[in-house]
Amino acid sequence: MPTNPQKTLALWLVLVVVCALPKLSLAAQFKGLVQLRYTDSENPDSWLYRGSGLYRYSEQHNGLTLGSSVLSLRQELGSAFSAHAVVQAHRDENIELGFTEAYVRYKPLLPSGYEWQLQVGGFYPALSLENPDIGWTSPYLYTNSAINSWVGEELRTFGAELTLGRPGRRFNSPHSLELVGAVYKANDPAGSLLAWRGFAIHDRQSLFNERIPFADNPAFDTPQLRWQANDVLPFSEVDGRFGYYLGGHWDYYKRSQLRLYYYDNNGDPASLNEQSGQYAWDTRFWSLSWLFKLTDNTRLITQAIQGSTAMGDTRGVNNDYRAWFLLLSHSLGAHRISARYDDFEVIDNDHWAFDPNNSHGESLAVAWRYRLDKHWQVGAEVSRVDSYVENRQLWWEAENASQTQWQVNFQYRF
Amino acid sequence: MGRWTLGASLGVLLAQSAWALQVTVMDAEGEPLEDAVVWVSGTPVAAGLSTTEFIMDQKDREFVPHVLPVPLGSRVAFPNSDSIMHHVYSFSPVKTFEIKLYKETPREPLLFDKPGVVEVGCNIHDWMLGYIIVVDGGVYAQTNAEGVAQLRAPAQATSVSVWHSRFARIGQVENHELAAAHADTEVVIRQPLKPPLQDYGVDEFDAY
Repeated sequence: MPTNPQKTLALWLVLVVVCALPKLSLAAQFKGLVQLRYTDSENPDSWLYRGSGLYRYSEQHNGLTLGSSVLSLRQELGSAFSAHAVVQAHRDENIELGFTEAYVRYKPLLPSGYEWQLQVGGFYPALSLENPDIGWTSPYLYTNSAINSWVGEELRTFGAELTLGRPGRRFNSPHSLELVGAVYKANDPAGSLLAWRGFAIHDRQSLFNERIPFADNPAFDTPQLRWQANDVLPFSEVDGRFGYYLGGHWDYYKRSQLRLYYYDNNGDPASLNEQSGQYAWDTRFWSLSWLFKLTDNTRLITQAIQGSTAMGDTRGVNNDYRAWFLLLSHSLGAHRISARYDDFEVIDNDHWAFDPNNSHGESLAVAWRYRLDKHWQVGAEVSRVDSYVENRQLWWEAENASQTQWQVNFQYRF
Repeated sequence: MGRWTLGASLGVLLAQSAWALQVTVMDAEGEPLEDAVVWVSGTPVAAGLSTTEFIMDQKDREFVPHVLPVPLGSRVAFPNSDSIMHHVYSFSPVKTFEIKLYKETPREPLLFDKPGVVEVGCNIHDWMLGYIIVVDGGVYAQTNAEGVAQLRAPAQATSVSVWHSRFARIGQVENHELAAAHADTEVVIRQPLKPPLQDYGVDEFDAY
């Protein structure tokens, strides 16, 4: 049983909050949503079942299932402190329940109009604009873009993040600025899924101590990769080093919102945990996101990332990756229609021919969501992904695959 | 009987002594200013008004109304019509306060017993901004789209106080002489005005 420092931290946080509850006059704020989902997806099978497909579901695993299921808790601790936790449930191969975020925020009131905030714990870096709903879910489509599918499964900050802000309205300016910096541990294996599966299209967020499977890779039988497990523990600490990211947010009113981040987990690629089969990956990237409201009801969201990742003491797996998407969403009364185009690519730069990592793909998705009342929502999504994944040849599969996926969702929000 | 007569006579006297004053507020270019607060200082506050509970609501992540004039000594309640929490505060010397507001737990109204300008913000949603103008008089009004405020001014009134949320010196109220006794008055704001920022529209999916 590997040690779980993040889980321990999160459990302690929750314990502190629960113990403090009766002593606080302010009630905790609970919010949540549950999705009941019917899916019809084409093969190849999902990586969650050790296949090489890019959807969460597949022909063997279609039908009625549990979609995003989130419980979000916010507890005020006096004037400046608040504790936050998000618990999610998954029903894939197994039923899993765990934390996706747990942190304490310190945001003091300042008379100057400037603001600063310190966040400590486990949480998402705020580099995306596609997932503003509770528990980092998306109000737009039922799948995330390739970029944010990956962010949801392999990125999380376990550390401290400092934000300095100049909110425009306090200074009578249409421009608001924020600078973000964070240092963190863990998150060393981030990049594994990009190398051995490539980008994917789904809405599954990894829990704090989850093992995410991927296909049994024959390359792991070679002496070079013999220590690598057939799964990734994305938030584990391997090399004992701190990673960091820096970000900038620039809003023009709330009409245009721009976010630029540089992320570097500062992984030591020579570092390996033989027990868990996890390497530290040297993963770094730039991310640029932009949200623009064309009208009050129509918005455009776009994001692009470009980066690199490498593992092994000779950087035997050494990849570049880039991806972008364009999302348009229009709301009409209780209806919301959204469409997204994705383009993504992983480029293999190393000379380990036994471990091909090249992949690329395109995806188009359209979703309709209809709010029945303040609790219930119904909707449907259809999407298609065309992909080339070079390592499918290792299983004697065609390297190219086209998949179509239908989903019908019933959502209850509270 | 005697008391009734006296009361009625006083009422008539007061009604006669108050007159319909129309004040038009404009910027230096002569453009009308909407939502300016205009009042006559020192006028008595009607008995009913001082017990009225004024309301500054929080709705769709905005303060509603954006500008709330209240007479000195008023109580203002801060309900929360949103399903999320707000952390309302003011650092203005006229009234410094801080309240965390859940929809489920309304708080006691706050007393505003000093005249002046109170700038209200939210520590969670930093674009939220509201103003409570505590006026030292019972005669006050806000200008309409044409910049016009209608007041029932007392006979002895010679000047009006004016404030607008675009004032560059936000806490500085301007005093303007009336054109002549019982005459409509045009007020041109003396201090520089900040550009209007009406575009801070937000929705439920604006990140914070």
